[in-house]
Amino acid sequence: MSIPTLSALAAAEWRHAPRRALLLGAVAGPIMIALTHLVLPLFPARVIDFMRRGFILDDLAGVLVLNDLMAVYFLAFFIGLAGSLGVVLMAREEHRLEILLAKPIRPGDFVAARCVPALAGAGIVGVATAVACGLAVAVHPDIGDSVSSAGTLGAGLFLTALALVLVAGMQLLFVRLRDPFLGLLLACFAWLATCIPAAVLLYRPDVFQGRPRLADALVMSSLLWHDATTSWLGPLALVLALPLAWLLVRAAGALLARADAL
Amino acid sequence: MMRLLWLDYRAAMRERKTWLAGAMLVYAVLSIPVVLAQPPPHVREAIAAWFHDADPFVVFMFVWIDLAMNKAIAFLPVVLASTVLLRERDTGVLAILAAKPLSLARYFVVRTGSACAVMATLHVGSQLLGALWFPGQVENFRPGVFLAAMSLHLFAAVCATACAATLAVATGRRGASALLSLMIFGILVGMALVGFYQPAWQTATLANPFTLGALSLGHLGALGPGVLLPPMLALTALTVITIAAGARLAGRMEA
Repeated sequence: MSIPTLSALAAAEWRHAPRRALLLGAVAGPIMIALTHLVLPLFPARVIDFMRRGFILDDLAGVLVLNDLMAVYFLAFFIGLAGSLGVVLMAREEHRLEILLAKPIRPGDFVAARCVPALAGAGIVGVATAVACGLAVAVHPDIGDSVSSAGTLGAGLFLTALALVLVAGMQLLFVRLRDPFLGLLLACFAWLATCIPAAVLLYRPDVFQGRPRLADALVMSSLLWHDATTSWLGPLALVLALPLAWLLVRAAGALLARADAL
Repeated sequence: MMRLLWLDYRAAMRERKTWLAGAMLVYAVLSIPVVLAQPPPHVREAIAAWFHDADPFVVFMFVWIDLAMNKAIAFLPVVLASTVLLRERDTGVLAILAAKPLSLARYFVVRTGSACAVMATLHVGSQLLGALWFPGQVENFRPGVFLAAMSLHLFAAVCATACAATLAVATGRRGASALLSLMIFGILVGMALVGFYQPAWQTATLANPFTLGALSLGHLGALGPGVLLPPMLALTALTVITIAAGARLAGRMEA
C-alpha cells in the first residue's frame, strides 16, 4: 500500500474543507471596513481626539485605519483558529483520531495537510480585508494624509502574517490537548495578549516613555507611526510568515507523532 | 431536571477550561489597578465629559467594564456554551440521551442553564474578589456602587451565554458556531458604549444587550432600582426568549 504524498493529502483536505467561514470572513471584512469609514467620522470630535491622542496618531485617517486593522487581525486569526480546531482536537474528542491515523498516513503529514485549509482561509481573509482597508483609505476624502494606501495595506498584511504564525503556533498546544474549547480559550487569551500593549499605551503611556523601540515592537498602532516602512515590511512579513507557519505546523505534527495519546 | 442541572453545573465547574477562565478573571482583577495607576490627563478629561463626572471612580468603572469585563463576556460565553448539544452529538452521546425520558429541547434548557450558571459564578466571583481588592488600589472606590453596577452587567453575561448556546444549535457545527458567536459578540462589544460617546444614538444602542449591561456607567452617582431594574428585566426577557428559541431548534435536532 503506497503512502499518499503531502501535496495530495493537502489538496484533498482543501477540496473537502467547508467554505462557509471563508466566505463569511471575505464578505464580513470589507463590510466592516466600509461601516467603520461611514460611522466613525460621525462621532463627536472628542471621541476621535481621544483615540488620536491615546494611540499617538496624527489625524482621522490614523484613527480609521487603526480600527480597520483590528478587523483584519480579528478575522484572520479567528477564521484560522475555527478551522484549526478541527485539525486534531475535535477528531480526538470524537474518537476519530485513532481511526484517521490508522490509515497509511504519517502523523506529521496528517497535521500539515489538515492545517492547509485553516491557514489558507486565514491568509485569504486577511489579505482580502487588508486590500479593502487600502482601498478605503484611497477613496475616502478629507481624512488626512498621515497614512497612505500602501502603508495601510502593508499594516494589514503584517497583521495577517502575525495571525498566521499565531494560529500555526497554537497547533503545538492543540496536539497535546483533549478539549477543543480549552484550546479555544487559550487561543483567545493569546490573541488578547497581543492587543494588551495597545491598551497599556492608552492608559499608561508612561510605560513606553523613553522606550520607543519597545513601543514599536509591541504596540499595534506603531504600524501607523512608520507608514513608509510598513508598506514594504508588511508584504515581507507575510512572505516570511508562510515558511515559519509551515515550520510550526510540522513541529506540531512531530509532537503528535511522539505523543502518548497515539 | 433540577438535579441534572445541578450535576451538569458541578461537572462544568470542575473542567479545566472553567478554572482557566477563573484564572484569567483573577488576572484582570489584579492587573486593572496597575493599568489605571497613572491615567494621562486627556483620558481622565474625555471620560469625565462622556459620563458628566470627574470622579476617579468613574474612570475606573469605565476601564473595568470596557477593558476587562466586556471582553470577558465576549469570549467566555462562547467557550462555555458553544458546545451545548453539539458535543453530545459529535461524540455519539446524543442518541443515548434521546432514548431517555427527557426531550432534547429540555436537555438543551438544562445544559444552557448550567452554562449560564457557570458564567454567573465566574462573573460574581470576580466582582466579589474585586470588591475586596480594589478599595486599597483604586482612589475613591465605592464597593456598594461597584457591586450594584456589576450586578446589571451580570445579566448581560448570562444573556450572552444563552445566545452562544442558541447560536450553537442554530449553526449545527461547533467551530462555525464559535466563530459566529465571537464575530457577533465582538461587534456588539465594540458598539456597547457608543451611546455614551454619541448621545444622539443612545436610544438605538439600547437594542444591544452589552449596552444594557453597561448602562449603570451613566448613573454611578445615583444608582438605584429605577436605573437597574428596567435593563435587568429587558435582559432577562431576552435571555428567556433566546433559550426558548434554542430549545425549539434543539427539539428539531436529530440524534
